[in-house]
Amino acid sequence: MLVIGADQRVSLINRKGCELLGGSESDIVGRNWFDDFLPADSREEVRELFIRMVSKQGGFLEYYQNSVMTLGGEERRIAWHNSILYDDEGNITASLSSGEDITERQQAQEKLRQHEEQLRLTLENAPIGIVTSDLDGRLLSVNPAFCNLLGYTAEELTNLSIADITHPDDREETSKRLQALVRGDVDSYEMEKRYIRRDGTVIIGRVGAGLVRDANGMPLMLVGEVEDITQRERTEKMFQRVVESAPNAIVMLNSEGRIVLVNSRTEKYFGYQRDELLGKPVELLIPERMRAHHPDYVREFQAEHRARPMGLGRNLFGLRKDGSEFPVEVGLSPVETGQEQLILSAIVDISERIRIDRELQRMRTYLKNMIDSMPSVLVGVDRNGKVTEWNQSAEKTTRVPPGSAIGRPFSELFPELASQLDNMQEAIRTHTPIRRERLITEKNGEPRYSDVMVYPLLANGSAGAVIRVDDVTNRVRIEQMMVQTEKMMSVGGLAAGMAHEINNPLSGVLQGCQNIQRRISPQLEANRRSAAELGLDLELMNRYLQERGIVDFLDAIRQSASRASRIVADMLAYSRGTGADFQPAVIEEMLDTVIRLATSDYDLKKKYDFKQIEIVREYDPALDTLICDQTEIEQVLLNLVKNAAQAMAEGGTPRPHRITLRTRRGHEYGCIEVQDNGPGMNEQTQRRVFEPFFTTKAAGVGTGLGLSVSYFIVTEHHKGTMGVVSKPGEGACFTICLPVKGNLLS
Amino acid sequence: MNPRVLVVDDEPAIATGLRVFLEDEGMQVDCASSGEEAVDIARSKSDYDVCIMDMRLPVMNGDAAIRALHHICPDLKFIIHTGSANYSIPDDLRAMGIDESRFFAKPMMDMKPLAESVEALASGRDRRSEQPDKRRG
Repeated sequence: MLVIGADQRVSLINRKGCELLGGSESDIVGRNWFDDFLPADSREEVRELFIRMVSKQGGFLEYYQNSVMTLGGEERRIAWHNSILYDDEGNITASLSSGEDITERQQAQEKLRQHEEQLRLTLENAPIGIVTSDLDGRLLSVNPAFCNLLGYTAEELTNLSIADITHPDDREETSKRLQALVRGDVDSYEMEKRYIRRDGTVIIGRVGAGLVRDANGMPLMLVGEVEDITQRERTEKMFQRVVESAPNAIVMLNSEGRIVLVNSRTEKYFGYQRDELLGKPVELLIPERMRAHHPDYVREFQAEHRARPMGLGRNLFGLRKDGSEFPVEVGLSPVETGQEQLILSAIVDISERIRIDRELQRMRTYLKNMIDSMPSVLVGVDRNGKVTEWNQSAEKTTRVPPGSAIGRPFSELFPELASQLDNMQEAIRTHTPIRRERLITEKNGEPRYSDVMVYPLLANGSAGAVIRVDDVTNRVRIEQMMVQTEKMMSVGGLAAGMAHEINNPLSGVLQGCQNIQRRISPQLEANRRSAAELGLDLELMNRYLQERGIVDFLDAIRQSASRASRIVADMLAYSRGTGADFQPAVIEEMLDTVIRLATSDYDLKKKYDFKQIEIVREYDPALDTLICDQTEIEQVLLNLVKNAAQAMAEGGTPRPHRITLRTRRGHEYGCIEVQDNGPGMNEQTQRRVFEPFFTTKAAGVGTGLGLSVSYFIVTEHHKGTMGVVSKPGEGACFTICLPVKGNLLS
Repeated sequence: MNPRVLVVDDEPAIATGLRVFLEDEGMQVDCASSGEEAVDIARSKSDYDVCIMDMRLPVMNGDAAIRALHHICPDLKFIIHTGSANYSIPDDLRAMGIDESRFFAKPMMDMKPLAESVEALASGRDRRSEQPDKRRG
């Protein structure tokens, strides 16, 4: 109780008042109430009200609340109940206020208010929909999240029922659950159901619902929270579809190594039904012999804890239900679910890949083999002309192994060719093939011919080219020789027609010469007789003829005619048919004849005494006869023997001069060799020795046809072979080989 | 008795060349420039021992002339002397004893072997065992 005088001073206070203010009556009475007991912030406002109240203007406040300051400095909230005291004249003298300390009550109220605010905010801001409904399902309140979920405003929703916003297919189930809740069969329920939004679209929600009871325990209303799981559902479905349709077998393992998920490919690969696999240890799918290591692999993987292919370099196999195995590659990925770590393994059947790999490998080897076995030099180059491929022929030709050739410029490895392929780079760039024939290079001082092809590669975008080089030296030489041979054959044809016409005049010349030589000789009786009749001294005439060189002239005429005759005879050989006179000929007899003819040869005799040559005979007893045109083969052998004699006559040949005649029986061929110990010949001569008109002899010594005619007789008429082996200073050995069955095959 | 020889050749230089050489060897030699002429001569004078026959002759060739002469003088021996490249002896001529040993290719480097062959045939000695150089060149 407090009495405040019009002078604002406390005039009376009871004990309760003193207790509240924390002082004795004497401490309080007489002091200005407003100055001393009100907090500064509200002091003037309250004083103003008091002044008005105690004036006669009628500002009376029966109830009023304000804060007071205790003597201890504490602020308390007081609710006042005021009355006015008058004096006898009716003047207001004081106010009488009874105050109640409401500090605690007000604090409690504030707390409650704050709590309610929090609840409201929670509902407002909750990320999930929260909704209440009456027991019939009519919506009472909804939060913004729920509104957003369904696309309605709160007002619209509070006019709807749960059934209105539930997908028709899920209404019955929803209603059943709600009834069970209301009946008290369950305290709460959870379900996934579909809602229809305002715009007609369907969403999937996970609902948790509970029942709110009143103070008496009677059902009051329903409360529910709804979470939109549409996206999650979709993701899950997609995940399932991805897993199912994956081209690999997918097996998910839990941390114990048991199978928790498989896809259809797994069933197909391993031959199991899904049910037979789920819950089983993964070792079921692993061959016995590999099981021991498998847990190690898995542990190792778990320790590393990152995705990686497990089959890499490990030759892993899968085990089918029927016990058969197939090679696999396994990719592992860790999958965190929050509860446990799962392992997702993707298994690929690599049988086909291995088969293809093998096939590719086989093909690669085959192609490599092909390329290496090719007699052509094959070089692959990139767009800059640097070597990328180098086959064995390339290695053989250049003596540069692939290891050091690859990466080097082609022009460095084949400088002579490259310099003749000036536009190679351009061809590679513009994809234009180049073909150059018979490029001439030099090797050991001899010309070599090469055909070169550069064909650009277009495959898989990698520009470059393949350069093919063929050494056609032999072909070119053979072609040149064939051209000659053909020429000679046509000459032969001509010769055959002309032989009679030429031989007849030559006969006249030769016979005439011989007759003249005889008729000037003093030895002939008829000559002497005739000379005596004319008084001519034959001896003197002969001396004259000798003196004036006439004897030599005659001799020269005979020799010239004789050479002309031999040329015609040689040319005739080209025109002769094949096999006309083929008979078995005894080789030993042939060789004896040849030696006898050589000994008496008119030309040879003049320059060389054939009798000085040592003849060595090495006859193979297995080879007696050869089926041949005996005259022709004798001509060939005579040619060889004369050739040997002439070669040895050149001088520098060690004595004794020796010709070795050797026979040799091969499987299909019988061979005769004529070997001398003359000066021999170099490689170049050897190669050209069978060419027509090629001769190393002094002019006039040979026709240059001897060996080529021989070659022609042996190879064309007899289908045999003819060759020579020689080295300078080591003599020469000519060999002819004839088919033992004659050339009947031809 | 000196051999009597009939040389048949349409080339006078050759016929003369042979005649001169054989005469110097002491033989009696007549020449005919064709097969027909040879046959005529043989009809009137049939005591030749040896006939040296050129094969390529106008009208009647060497083979035909030999057959005709053989008909007239069965004992006449023949020597073939030809410049033809591809002459081969027909079988009926071979039957008369004409073989490679009596074949002389033109041109002859030396007429001596021919003369020896004529001598042998005329004297009835068959010199087939001792073959003459019948090589060309």
